Amino acid sequence: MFDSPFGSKPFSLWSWGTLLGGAVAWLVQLLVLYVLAEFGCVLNWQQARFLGMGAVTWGVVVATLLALLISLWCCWLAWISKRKIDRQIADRIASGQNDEVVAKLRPESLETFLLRFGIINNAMFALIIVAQGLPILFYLNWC
Amino acid sequence: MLTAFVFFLLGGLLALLMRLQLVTSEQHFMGPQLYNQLFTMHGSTMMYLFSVPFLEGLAMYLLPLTIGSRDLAFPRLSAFGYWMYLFGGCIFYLSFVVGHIPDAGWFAYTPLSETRYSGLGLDFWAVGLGMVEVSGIAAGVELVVTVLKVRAPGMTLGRMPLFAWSILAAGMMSLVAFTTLLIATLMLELSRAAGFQFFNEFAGGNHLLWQHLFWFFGHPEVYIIFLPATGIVSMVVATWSKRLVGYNYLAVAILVTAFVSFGLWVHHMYATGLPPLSLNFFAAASLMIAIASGTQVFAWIATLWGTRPALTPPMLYVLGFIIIFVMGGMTGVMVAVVPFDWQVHDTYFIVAHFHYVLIGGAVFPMLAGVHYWFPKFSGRMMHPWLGYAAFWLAFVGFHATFFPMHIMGFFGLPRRVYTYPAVLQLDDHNVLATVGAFVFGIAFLLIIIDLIWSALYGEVASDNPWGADTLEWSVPSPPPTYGFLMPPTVVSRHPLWHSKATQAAETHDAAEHHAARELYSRPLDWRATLVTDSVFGIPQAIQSLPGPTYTPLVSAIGLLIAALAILAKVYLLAIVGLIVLVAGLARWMVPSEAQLELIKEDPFYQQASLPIDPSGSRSVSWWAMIGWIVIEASALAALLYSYFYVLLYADAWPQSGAAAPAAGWFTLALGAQLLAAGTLVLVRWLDHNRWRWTSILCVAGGMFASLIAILLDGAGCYAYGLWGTESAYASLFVTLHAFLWLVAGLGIVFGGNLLFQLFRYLDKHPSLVELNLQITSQQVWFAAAAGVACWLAIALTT
Repeated sequence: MFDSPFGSKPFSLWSWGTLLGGAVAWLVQLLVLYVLAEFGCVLNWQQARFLGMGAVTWGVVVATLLALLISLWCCWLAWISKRKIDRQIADRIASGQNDEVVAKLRPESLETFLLRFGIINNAMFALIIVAQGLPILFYLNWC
Repeated sequence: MLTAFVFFLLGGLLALLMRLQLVTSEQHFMGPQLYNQLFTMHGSTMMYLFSVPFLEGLAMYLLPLTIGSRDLAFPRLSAFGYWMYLFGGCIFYLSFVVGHIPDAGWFAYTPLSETRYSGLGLDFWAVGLGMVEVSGIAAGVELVVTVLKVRAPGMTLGRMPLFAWSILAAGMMSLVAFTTLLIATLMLELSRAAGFQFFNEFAGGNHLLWQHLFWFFGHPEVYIIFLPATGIVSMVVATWSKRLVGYNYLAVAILVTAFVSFGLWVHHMYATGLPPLSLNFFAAASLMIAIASGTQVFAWIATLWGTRPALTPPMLYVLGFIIIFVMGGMTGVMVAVVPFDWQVHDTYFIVAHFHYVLIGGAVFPMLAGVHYWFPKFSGRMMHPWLGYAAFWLAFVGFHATFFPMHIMGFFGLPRRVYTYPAVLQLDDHNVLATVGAFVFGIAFLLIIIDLIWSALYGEVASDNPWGADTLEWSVPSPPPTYGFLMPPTVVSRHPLWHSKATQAAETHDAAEHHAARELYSRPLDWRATLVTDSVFGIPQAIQSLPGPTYTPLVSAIGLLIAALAILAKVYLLAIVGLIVLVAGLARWMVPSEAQLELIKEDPFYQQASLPIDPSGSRSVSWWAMIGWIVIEASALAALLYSYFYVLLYADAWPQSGAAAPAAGWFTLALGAQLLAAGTLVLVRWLDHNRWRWTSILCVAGGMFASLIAILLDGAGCYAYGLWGTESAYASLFVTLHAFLWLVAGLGIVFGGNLLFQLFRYLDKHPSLVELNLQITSQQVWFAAAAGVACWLAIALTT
């Protein structure tokens, strides 16, 4: 009916990614940051330097950027799907086809709910990922 | 719920005794030892025996009604969890009877909780807690599978009540958090009873390891308590406002809180000397979780805005919750900032903060929930004026008790100290706090009187006295044991506000409605309940639920005997207890032939359009097994984390001059376990009816390979010569291998059950055999994966 990540039953990996990709990216970022901050700092990984910054710093920056990209990408996927659905509903209503297909996509429908859920969830995790990455700016050369 | 409330009253009594001791400076109403024991038991009671179990009990009663199911997915598991909880709680309080009361705080930090500083009381604490943890894990599996698989037809994820969302999140968190604590508690008890060295600095161990493991449980636990409470608040707010603003945001906030709560544990350890970079990551995460909590608060305020809700007791408790929780949340943001936390660490400011969060964030919503659902539980209304009086006494008493503690903390009054000098000039604040505590206590006395009086003489309640929107209000008050004669079909987020005519029109031809109609008033004798898709709410199958049995009680008694025998150091009796446990579980696993025949002979069995008791992802047992794998994986992760954490700070590895383990035995053992996993892959591919004996031989071969794996691994450990007491490395090495034996042994038990079913039920009940094959395979594959992980961890580091 509509090209949406939630059209397939059961859910595909893409569907789950659109819903929870940001959360998984944050989880991986947390694990990497914790290992770098606790294990890396104790083991003096920060002594290994590249372009003026220590290995721990580089690890944190790369992990944060990757996690941020994944969460924003998942957010974008949900966003474009939602926009596509909104546009198709508007087109149908404009052409006088205010039928059951439109009714099925009312705000309370599962499809719309999941897309909104994906947008908000991934955006929130993108914010958390940025916040967790910021402290590294104070620890470029030590930890 | 009732048991948890009794424990709450006991915990509250201990708190009042402590407040009497602290009412003025330099008092000697009790000595430091008794004070330590009281604050330990108070904290342990409230955190382990009241908060989580109360909400679990509430969820177990209400959840099936709220989501339109006839029952929970695993009623026997609930019974087992209850008995474990009751027995665990009794062991806690048995310590008072025998005169060995735990005294190392509800957190039991090492080395304070080691045998050097704490006596037998800590063993009561650890063993009792272990049983309560098993109960928490069982409840987690029960609630998650119930929410995901037995919702009413048409109840998609987007139409699920927020109470169910919050229970789903808390249940998932319980699986990981309680498992981590269970492993930590086992390690503590192994240290105390068997001389293992995980936490002993003098033998290469690390005290901070306990704190890491404990707080990896401890912080999420706050949210395991808080999230269901927010679910209650959302239900009450929606009912009183006749609308709900921000459903999507509330659902996301629940999920974000559940995830992020696992990334905050270090904020309890700011003062332990961890690297500053690490502290700052966790400070950032701690600040960020306030966004998720704040989102919920704003959604509730937006819902209430302009609706003029009636200020009856449930709503008053919700408003009280919002005020208190926002205040507690603000101080939470303050203590998330590292330098501020260093200033107020271990002072009364922290005591004030967490009581604002836990009483405001959990107890007030619980009281709102009790007042809200009491008509449904009992069929009678609560007395409104007693409710008003109790609320105002609780609200005023609470603030009088805990607000002055912020100020006392700023003035530097340390917590967990039995008295304080007069020169601090904090007597006035303490008098106010003590008076407030008694006022708070009187409020609960009034609530008890109200509950008893209302249950006996209260005004008879209608089915839906509040005009609420969720399904539990569509059944009579009190509800019948089967819940719904016909499973309801859901077409809206607010099913009872949705016009019945519209609902009938919309569901007239829907497959969902057809499945529900099929089950109208039957078959109640084998407790048929609908299984639906976890996301879309589409009916998938009909599941029969087991009837009443003593096996959960027998199993729990077996574990109780083992626990008491361990405390008394009568290890032979402990083995007897474990045998009773295993026998109970084995009887539990074998299906009731009478029920199987009853189902087969029911005419409905032939007519039903949906499969009955299917295998695969349409079966609730398959989902429970996924939950079990998550539990086992969490346990393995906790052990591997401990291994690497101790390694990080070790001077040498292996410790105490031990040589690196010879790889031969362990590699052979791993090979045997992988062979077992391989045979089960083969069995999954076979057509069992055609290749019956090949299937049986393959399963038997797989079990034999698993047994060989355990024996080879054991032989390797024996040849290595470490017993676990030599050093922290030895303790971790032995524990990791014991874990491998346990998971492989479970695979053998499951395989034995599968063999029995292949012989007995393959012709009559093939889907039952198929389901058991899937479950056994998952267990054996996990055992192989765990073997690979441990082999790699040890081989790469020694």
